[in-house]
Amino acid sequence: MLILGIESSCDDAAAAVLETTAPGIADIRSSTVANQDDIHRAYGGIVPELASRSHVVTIGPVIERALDAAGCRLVDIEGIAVTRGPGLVGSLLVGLMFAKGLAQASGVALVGVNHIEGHLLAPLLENRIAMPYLALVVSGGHTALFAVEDFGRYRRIGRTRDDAAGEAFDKVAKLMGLGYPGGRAIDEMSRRGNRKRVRIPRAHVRGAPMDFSFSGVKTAVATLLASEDGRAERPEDLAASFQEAVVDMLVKPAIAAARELGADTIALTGGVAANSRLRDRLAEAAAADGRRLVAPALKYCTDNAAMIALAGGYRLIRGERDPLSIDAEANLAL
Amino acid sequence: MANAAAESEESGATVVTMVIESRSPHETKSWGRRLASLLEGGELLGLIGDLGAGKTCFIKGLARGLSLREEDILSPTFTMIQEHHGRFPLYHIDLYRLEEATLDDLGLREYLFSEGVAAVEWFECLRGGAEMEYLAVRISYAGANIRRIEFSAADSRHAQIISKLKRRFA
Repeated sequence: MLILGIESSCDDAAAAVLETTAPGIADIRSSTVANQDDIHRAYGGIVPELASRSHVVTIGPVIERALDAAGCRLVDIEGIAVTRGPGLVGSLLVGLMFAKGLAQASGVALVGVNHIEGHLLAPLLENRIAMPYLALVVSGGHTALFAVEDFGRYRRIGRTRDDAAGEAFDKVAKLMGLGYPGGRAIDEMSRRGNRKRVRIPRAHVRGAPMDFSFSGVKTAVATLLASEDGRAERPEDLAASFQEAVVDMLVKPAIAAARELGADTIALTGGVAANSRLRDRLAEAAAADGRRLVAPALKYCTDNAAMIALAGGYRLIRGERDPLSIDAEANLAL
Repeated sequence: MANAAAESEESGATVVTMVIESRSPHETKSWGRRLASLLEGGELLGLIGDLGAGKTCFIKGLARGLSLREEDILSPTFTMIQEHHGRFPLYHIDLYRLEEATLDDLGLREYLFSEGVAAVEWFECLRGGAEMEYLAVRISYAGANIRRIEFSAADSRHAQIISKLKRRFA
């Protein structure tokens, strides 16, 4: 079955074409993304109004590009999977309305997909993984551990109690004057820094070893930068020490959760999966514990439509469809 | 203190202020809980303070005071608006990523003038916010773990809440 995936939950508009034969088994025919970082960089953050206006302009061409790259036409598409939440409502609506229009015009089935489900299943795009597996979702908006037990059956076993890890990266980058988005800048700067130079306290959530808290590390950096001593530190050392603290706080609960779940595979997904130190450390820790780490290619870690097509695909091949009355939901629960 | 409240009721323009010092995140939360105990629904709270000052921390306490679970209050920076339903609705809003927001962004009007309590982080990013009737909670660094928390309001309704806060807890 040939499936068109559409994703526009935040600042990227994306489309993909997938050929799927069974749940989780897919051949990626194309995956395209129109990124808005340049538009938002000028503002130091995401501006919802700009994001949705830009989506209006780019969504059509992005879909056309995906179809072209897949070597097919709209009439070949047999099902449409589109993100309906969570995310920014204005942004979500652009993709959802476009998808509804296409479904209405072509008469093919449409399913609304939860963006997080897309991230949880993204590791399957390029790998065969036996379920249950443990997924660590780390992005600017989410930090959570899920047991992926089956298609449509996900159990959250840990989550952040305050900030998302990616949010901590972005906010610390802003405090350090590194611009937006800041995760990449910190990753690069850290390579030249001493990870042990600056003392950053690791936070643990009492009584909940698989939960996360990143508000404290952000505050620690803010406090440090407010002091003479802190400002005297090399930015490279500060970045490396901060990054090491965040990585420590992600790796430990992930390993604990994989043990509890008895999962052989830990899948790392979400935009922060692009962080090289996190990849290295988690791979090492998993191997030392007799498990393997699967991290999708970067283009499937960050927001993309291939994962949405995959997450909608297993429902479409079962013959499911959603009514065209489905709505976008900013806080859609999994 | 009673005078200050009375004064503001008459003129409607006197600013009522209360300043406290918090020595821990726990204490910051306590002040959120205390403030919540005086709310009746329909209030607008504007939180102002640098990154890491403790705005979300304060709102965690506020949530507890509204019979919500503290652990359900996450940073709303990414989603921008999070709704919670306790003693009455709590709209937890974060304008951090907006730089400059107008009431029409995100349908803010609907949340800010509702039956529930709207708690807005980075309130200073709201264009025209300063002219609205709201209770300002300004949190600033006063040392490593120490924060200065200033409550202030210019309209009689929110000013009365601060007067009560002083009478009961100062």
